Amino acid sequence: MHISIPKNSPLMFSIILFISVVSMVFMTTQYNSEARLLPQLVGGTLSILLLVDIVKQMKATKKGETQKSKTVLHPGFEKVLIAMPVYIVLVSILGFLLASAILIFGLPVWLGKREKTPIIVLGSIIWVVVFVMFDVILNVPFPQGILG
Amino acid sequence: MDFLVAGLSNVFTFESLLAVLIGTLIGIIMGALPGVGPALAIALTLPFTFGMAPETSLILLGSIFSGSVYGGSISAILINTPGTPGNAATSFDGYPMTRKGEGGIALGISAMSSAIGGIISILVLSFFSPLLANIAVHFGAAEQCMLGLLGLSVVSLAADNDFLKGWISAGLGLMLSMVGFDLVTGEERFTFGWDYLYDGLQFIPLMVGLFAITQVLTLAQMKGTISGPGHVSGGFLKGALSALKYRITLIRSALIGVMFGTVPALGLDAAAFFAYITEKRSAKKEAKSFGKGLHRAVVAPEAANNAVVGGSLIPTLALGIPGSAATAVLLGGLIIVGITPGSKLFTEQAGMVGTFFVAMLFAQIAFLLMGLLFARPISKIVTLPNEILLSGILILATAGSFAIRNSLMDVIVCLTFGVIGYIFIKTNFNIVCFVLAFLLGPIIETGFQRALVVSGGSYSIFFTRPISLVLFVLVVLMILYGVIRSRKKDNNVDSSLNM
Repeated sequence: MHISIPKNSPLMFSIILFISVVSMVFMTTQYNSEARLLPQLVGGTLSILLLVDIVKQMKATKKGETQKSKTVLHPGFEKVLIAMPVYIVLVSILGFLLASAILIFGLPVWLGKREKTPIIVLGSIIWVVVFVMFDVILNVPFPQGILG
Repeated sequence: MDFLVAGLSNVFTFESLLAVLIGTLIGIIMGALPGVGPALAIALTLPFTFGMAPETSLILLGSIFSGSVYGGSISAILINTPGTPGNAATSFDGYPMTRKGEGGIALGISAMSSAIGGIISILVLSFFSPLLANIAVHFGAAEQCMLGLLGLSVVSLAADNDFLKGWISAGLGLMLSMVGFDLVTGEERFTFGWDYLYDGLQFIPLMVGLFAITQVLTLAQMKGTISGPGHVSGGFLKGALSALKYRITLIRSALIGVMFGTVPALGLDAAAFFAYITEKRSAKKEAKSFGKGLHRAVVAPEAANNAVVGGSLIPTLALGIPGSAATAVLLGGLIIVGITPGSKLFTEQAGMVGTFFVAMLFAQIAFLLMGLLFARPISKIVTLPNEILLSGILILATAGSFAIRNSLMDVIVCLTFGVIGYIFIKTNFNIVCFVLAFLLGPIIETGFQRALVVSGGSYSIFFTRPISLVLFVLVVLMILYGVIRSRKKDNNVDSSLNM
């Protein structure tokens, strides 16, 4: 099954943004007068602009000026979308360095790269560069993970 | 100008020239790493300078500062991942050049433009420091707010394709910049009680996400390599010479950089975006080719962001007011080696100041030479298979976002904004307008609130101070111009559809 983008996705995105911005403006009523002034001004203006955009898009949909069919996303896109949260979970379990090694060697294979030599050679170089620059030189205290 | 002569004699020693080369190299490498940037590069080197002679230490720090700003353009051009926020505008045309097999040429243009921008700014710094320092003194909260608004009004020009969505993107950027503690009143806003949001959304993870992770998602849908089936040209020298053709662009962008650098808090990123958009406006016929790999579109942001270096040193040295994190760290380093900022600096410590300025001039030449030597091997990165490259960018972006505050949440923010950036692109929202507003938001709001505190709540402060009033008029004119232009464009589209 592949992820597909509905044909009216820009309109849906604008509606989601409109609801979010209006909610933010309502939240500002709890703040003191100085702190709420600019968020209300910006949020109010933004809500109006988003409303204009929504009306504009609805008119365009009626006239048939929008995309005719839904767009099916490339499988590689779905795989990277899945890999990102999995990577974060792996970082918290196995630590940054081990999780990164799994990502750099595993993701290209999952994306369909069949030649193993470039993956091993180039993946090792990238991993070593990241390790040397951030861990050794910059002393970044990367997460060690639960198992680290 | 006696201090420059004194500085020349200090820099012309083997030890000092070696410090220029090493400092520039460290700066380039650190600058090319997403999320590291000049401030961290200088901060990390500072402890190593304690045992050095003061002059050598100054030379090293000055070279690192200049090298790191240039270094950020390498990753921006080759893998569409800006090393520093100031290089984001460079990626708009630098990366398309790489995709056309002109990565080496783009690197050459970037090095030459950065060098010339840097040289112009240091010359301005040397000759006009006292005068510009006087102007900076007149910039109060009202002027800071108006200057921020002027920067924001550039959205009218940046939102070329869709005026409405450009301003919506800017509005969203402004709203998100208000997340966290209000800087003046201390009120907690839009945090949902979540500790992470108390300090607001961090700019670097957000910026790395919008540019690098969006790039990862784009690469995931492409087979092969970034440079396509063609070859990666060397072309560094050709690119460097090509930049020289755009003399007006170089000078105009460098002056924009100096101006933005002089005003505390505006910084590299705002200057680079402003220079890019100004260039697009002045390009007329070529304006439509922006974003497709135009040489002058790489020249403008690179000349501007490196010119910020010199500009930002004016308030730092003349007034002791660092305008950015990088100059704040640098100021610490300068004080350690015995430089005391202030009006007497150029008379009482002329030799030290001269050494620092000349070292920074030499650093510009050093990164040009280093680019010439290393451009070809560096540009080979774009021949890596996309599957491997995207994994590398993902890890680099993760490491860079984490390194800022050692927070895994910053990484999650980075990845989330990567997905949001991708949706922005697919739904015709404007990432440039969003980023510009996000970074100018705190400057505008802080200036606005402080001005009201100073005036006792009266808005007249924005219109009674001459510089503030002039800036306000410019803001209004800029927005009006954008509206008229957008209407004209819509009418043209309508009439062509009716034909």
